[in-house]
Amino acid sequence: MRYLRSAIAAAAALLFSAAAHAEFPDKPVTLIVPFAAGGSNDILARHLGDGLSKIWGQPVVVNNMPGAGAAIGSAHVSKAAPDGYTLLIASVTFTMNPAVQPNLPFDPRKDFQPVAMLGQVPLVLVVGKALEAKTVQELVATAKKQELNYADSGLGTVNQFGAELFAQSAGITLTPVHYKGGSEAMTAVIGGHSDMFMSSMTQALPLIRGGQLRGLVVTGKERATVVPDIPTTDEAGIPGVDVQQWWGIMAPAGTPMDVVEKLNADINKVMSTEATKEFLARDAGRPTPMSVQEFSDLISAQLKKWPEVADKAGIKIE
Amino acid sequence: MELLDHLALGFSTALSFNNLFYAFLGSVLGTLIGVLPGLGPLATISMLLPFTFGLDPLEALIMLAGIYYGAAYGGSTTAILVNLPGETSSVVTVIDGHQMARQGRAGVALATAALGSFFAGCVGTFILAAFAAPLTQLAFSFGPAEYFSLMAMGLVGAVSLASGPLIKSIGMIVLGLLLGLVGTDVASGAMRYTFGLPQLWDGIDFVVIAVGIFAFGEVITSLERKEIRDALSSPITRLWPSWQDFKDMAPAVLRGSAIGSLVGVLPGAGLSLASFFAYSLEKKTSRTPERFGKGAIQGVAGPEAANNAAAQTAFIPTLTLGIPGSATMALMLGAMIVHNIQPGPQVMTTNPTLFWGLIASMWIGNLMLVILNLPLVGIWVKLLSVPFRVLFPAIILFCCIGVYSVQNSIFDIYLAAGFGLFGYVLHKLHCEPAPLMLGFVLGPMIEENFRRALVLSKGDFSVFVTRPISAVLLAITAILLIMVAIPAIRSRRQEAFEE
Repeated sequence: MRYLRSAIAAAAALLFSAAAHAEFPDKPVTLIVPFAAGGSNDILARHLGDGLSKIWGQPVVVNNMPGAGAAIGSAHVSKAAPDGYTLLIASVTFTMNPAVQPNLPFDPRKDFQPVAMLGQVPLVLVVGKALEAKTVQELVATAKKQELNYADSGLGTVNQFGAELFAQSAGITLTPVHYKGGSEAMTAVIGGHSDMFMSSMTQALPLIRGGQLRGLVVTGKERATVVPDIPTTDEAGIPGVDVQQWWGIMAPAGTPMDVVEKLNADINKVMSTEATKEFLARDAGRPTPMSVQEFSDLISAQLKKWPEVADKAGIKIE
Repeated sequence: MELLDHLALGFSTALSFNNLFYAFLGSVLGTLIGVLPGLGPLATISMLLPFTFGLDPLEALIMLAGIYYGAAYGGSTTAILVNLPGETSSVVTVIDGHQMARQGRAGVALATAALGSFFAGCVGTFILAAFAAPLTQLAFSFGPAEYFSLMAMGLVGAVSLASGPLIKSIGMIVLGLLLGLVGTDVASGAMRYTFGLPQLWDGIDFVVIAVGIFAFGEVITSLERKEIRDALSSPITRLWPSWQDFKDMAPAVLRGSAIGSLVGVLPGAGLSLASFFAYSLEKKTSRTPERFGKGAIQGVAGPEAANNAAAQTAFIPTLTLGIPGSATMALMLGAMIVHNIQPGPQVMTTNPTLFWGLIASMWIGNLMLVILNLPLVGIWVKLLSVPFRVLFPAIILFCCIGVYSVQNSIFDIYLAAGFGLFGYVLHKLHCEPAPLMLGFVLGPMIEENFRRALVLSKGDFSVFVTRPISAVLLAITAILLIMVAIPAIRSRRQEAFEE
């Protein structure tokens, strides 16, 4: 009897998901931005929402749920019905938070189904007038002689992980100085109060162009087209600084796979248009479409990697 | 004469019919929404931001600047009329502004705020146009040590915000400091007083506490005591400032404009500190300090001028470098990005029409606000005669909307309700909330900068006195401390003698 019941349930679920696939979405889809309006997540979410609603003929409602460093919005999505109608725009910090924050109100490993990768942008290491280093090699040499510090936008942020990963790969030690946000951190580096900042490209770009900051190196393997003369960490002989700012879409765990696949296909469609490329290129970003499997692999690899970096660097909440 | 060329370019851009229209529209919308209790500039701008997406970039920025000033001015109106500060800076306006309203001088207070703000706005805009570059350098010369000393000075000055006994105002400051501790500690990442609630990880928002203690607390208190309701609707003696009022406010406005222009340049701290400094200065230099807290016109004129001057010069780091000094400025930058303008040092050279057009519009927006608001003073004052059974529910409703709009969080509304009860208790104990609010705002910043300065100096405390700006600020703090302490000690000794 019990078997029969579960068989019927399974059949019903299959039927339901098949129907869902045929019609998805047949009502408005909500895209949760776990940050305040106006930030990079928000602007990208609205761009994606526009594109998707044109494909689907259904509105995509972008809803800002800021707070607790993305934890409030993420927790909301983790508890939403797993039907594909409530999605989260996550960024690289999604895989970093669990490395430093033991009591998140959700489990980033089990509560989410990765859906699609949107795009990536490298970080750029900038220095101000506190340092004379013109190249990253000079910076590393200085750091071996004297104690240098880096500014970051808070404990366990992408700037700190980026700076620590850079330090570990270059074989140097840097002292973290925590600021309340990227703007404060950058002001401190321009003013010469802190030595360096592993910045998001978006924030640093105008100041590199204006000459207030010097960009020494971009993270990863590929040069950024907006600052083509800044070498990559790989070219500078510091391999392994594999940290990129990225944005992706997550659904609650248990969302039917055919809905996930359809979402992935449609999102990749929006992300590969010329308009999107132009949109991301403004901030040195590029679309990097992935299959569901590729994106899931990337998430689990990073969820494993950041705790190791944190351990080595001693990043932990005291 | 480069400046004149730039201003000519700016005004020729800003005076086009379209741009004038959007400056006007922005000011009107900003005032109308900002005047609703509980809705400060940040909430107003984020609410109205989407309306500007369809415009071209300059029109959108001009309209947003109008909304910004309108909302700030509307915030002062609610501060004066219903005792509710919409943002940090109007906490001080409440102290004497609302007292003036209770004495039937609401019109005078509103006109003072409008005229003082306009004058300061002109000064601030001129400074922004002429001295943007050197003032940017001033902002950069402030490191953690300097910020710490500046805020220590502000904290000692906070004592003068209350007119009651010294011990009570110190107690309120300490309480404010403690409330400021709630949330994630920036230096260590540790959660403090969050009781396992993710909603408290970022700390408590200013609006939540302000609405709770001031608005909700006030409503509860007024329900209990009939005479307050009568006092509020006391006959309006006069709508316009008298000649004597003008003579009283003019020096305060001048001092306020000077302080505000200078302090406003500092990212992060400027906007909140300007009006506090101005109030402390007015009270300290006044020959009749006992009138402060009881409706002194200088207590409205100085801080309002400082606030508006700071609102102008706060644009300096935002425009010259693309680094926002406050959440509101971050929204303005967000708007630029939406319009495909990369904020940063290049804006001035690559987009001179936009840059100078915006600056000229700021002045025009300020002018429009005065023209708009002086006739409206009479209407706002009439709001006070709305029956309380209508007014109170409306205030509570709008406050709830305002609190909710900060973070889209219902939790914040419950929290504000809790602070309402707290505000009622404070009222019963005759404790003034303004020092608490300043302690709350300064507490986290002072701690962060203190620890940051020590990390940078590798634990060497001498950094606070070896850096010149920091040393001067600490010296002023010490003098202030002595000035506060001496009368207290003297009166204590007197008591001892009498016994």
